[in-house]
Amino acid sequence: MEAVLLTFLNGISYGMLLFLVASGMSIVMGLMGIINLAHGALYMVGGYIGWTIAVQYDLNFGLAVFLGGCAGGLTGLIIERGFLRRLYKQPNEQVLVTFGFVYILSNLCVWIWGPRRRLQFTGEALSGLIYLGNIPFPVTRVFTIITGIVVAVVLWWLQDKTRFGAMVRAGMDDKEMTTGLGINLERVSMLVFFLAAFIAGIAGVVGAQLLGVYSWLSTDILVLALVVVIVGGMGSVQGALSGGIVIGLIDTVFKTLFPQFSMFTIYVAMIIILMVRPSGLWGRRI
Amino acid sequence: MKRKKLLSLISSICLISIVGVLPFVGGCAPPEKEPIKIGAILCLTGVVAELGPKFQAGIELALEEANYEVAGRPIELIVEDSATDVTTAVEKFKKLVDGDKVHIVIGPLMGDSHLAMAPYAAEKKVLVTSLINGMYEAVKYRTYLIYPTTCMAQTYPFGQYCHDVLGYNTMITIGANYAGKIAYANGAAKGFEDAGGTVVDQLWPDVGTPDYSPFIAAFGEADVVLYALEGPGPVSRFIYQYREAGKTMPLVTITQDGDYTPEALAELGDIALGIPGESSYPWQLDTAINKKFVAAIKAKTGVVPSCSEQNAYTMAKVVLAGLEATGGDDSFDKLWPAILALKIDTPQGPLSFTPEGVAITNMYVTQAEKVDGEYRLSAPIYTVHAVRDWRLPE
Repeated sequence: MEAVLLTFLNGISYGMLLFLVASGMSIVMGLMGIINLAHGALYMVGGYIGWTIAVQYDLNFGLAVFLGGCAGGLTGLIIERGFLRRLYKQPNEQVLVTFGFVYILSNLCVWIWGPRRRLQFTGEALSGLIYLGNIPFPVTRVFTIITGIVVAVVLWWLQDKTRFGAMVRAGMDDKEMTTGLGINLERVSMLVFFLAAFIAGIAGVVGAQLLGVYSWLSTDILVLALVVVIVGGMGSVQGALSGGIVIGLIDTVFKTLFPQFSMFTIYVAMIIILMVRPSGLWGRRI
Repeated sequence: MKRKKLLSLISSICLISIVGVLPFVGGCAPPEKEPIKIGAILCLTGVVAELGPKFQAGIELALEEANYEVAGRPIELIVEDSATDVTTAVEKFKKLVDGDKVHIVIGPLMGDSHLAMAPYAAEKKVLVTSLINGMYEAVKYRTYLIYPTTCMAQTYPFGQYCHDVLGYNTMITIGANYAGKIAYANGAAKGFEDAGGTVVDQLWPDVGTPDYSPFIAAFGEADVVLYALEGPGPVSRFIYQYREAGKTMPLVTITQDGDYTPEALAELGDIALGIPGESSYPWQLDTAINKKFVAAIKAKTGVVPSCSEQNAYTMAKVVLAGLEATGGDDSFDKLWPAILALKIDTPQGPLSFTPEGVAITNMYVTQAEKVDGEYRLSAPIYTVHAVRDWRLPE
């Protein structure tokens, strides 16, 4: 029973991390129709900046999270303003450009921080264990779950309860009509992209508590983010959250029970879900 | 006018003669000897990218000590990146052999890559050396120098040590799911069981697994857990997550000299202490040749060497000694028997080879220690002399 509960909690914490990574990507793909393959690289940049603040300069972990988010956001903004906005409705070119940025940013990180993988780090207040009955559970994973919940609530509130969210949803439904109503959709898109990249950067620091940070993290995390977006459905916070939790649980459970199959279980799950709901769990029906 | 033309003709002839004679001033220039090309396939990117530069430093140090020359022939080193990937390693091997026409290749690191390259290396008669142990299955091709020995043979004595010296009776192993680490873990498990112990469970996370918590949660009860993961990064992550999960079973490991790099130890800190491990090369070995090597690597890289620098250095030295013995002939048919006949001292200890090309070396047990606030790999706490793969004929 203890092992089952521990596996479940590990799966939830991992799933929340996947949600943090995938949420921004899902919204960008849904609103702007942009396939941003550099999203994993933004996560990685945030992680490295967080490591620099929290470990190299031994500063506050909360500051590391915030600045990691800023680093991800600014990097994303440069990519969007400098390159992607000129490639509207050109998906092939978007894929190529953003994939190119994966290599550029990965090699920049090797150049700045070296090839060595950076160990997990966290704040002093988040070190240690809490006990759920007799079961020890790391505080870092509790923090990951809480961060995921907070981000999910904030994004849901923005999406469903604010004028800004209404503009975003209108833009997803009908770009031309929304623009015709006088809404500056380009500015809305830019803010959405920045927000998505900011969350990716935050995810990089939060995720570094579990996974550390390394130069090829961008491709590792990108694959997982894509699976979550596909499973959950594009363009919705609920989709990214449910996709993250489903994939996190499946991956963790199978690694615990059937490790020899763990390499491909999430892809099998993705195929099965797509066969039943091609648009994903919360995606708009096709 | 005629005189002017004659004068200019004579001047031209003199000028051409002078230019033509100049190369021969001081005697005829001999034709330059072609360089000996040595290829190196190193993991400069990918999962264990931190080891690639260490291997390269070791090879370069050996060549620098020889002034990039052997038996009167210059040496050209061609380094390729395997990206810690089997497919890439094979592609780079073919590029070195077919494109650059090398007959000697140092590396790559991963056992799977060795197995994939072995048939082609045998077909093309290219001498290949391992970097950190090698696969027994590659022995039959008789083109591989396997150093310090095969993976299973390297860790078999350590498995016996865990039972006979440390007193453990049951063991769980967790090893990265690729040929090399599977062999390491199984070697230690076999030694442990042959000594009277019981291996109660074996887990195989994939290479590059980011989160070991599902595997840690699956651990049952045992006297000890042996981990055999693919490099310093994954090892550090596993130890961190194991301690973070509050597990109390003692840990032991293999290839500790490769995983406990100075940088990894500095980052791990106290949680790395108290874990005995098999090491092929502890840098604190108290021999003159090793002290000289340690000083040279420290001057070159700024840190003390791990087995990565030492193994690559020794393999390069072995190749150079073989080339010296053949008078600079780098063809496989001459070089292979010349190397097998070598008996040399290395920073790691005495070295010789079996007729199959498998090295015979010492094995050590070490652990991390903290001295004056600095974390480092200890001097040997136990030594097994002349480790030889038990499957090879005597």
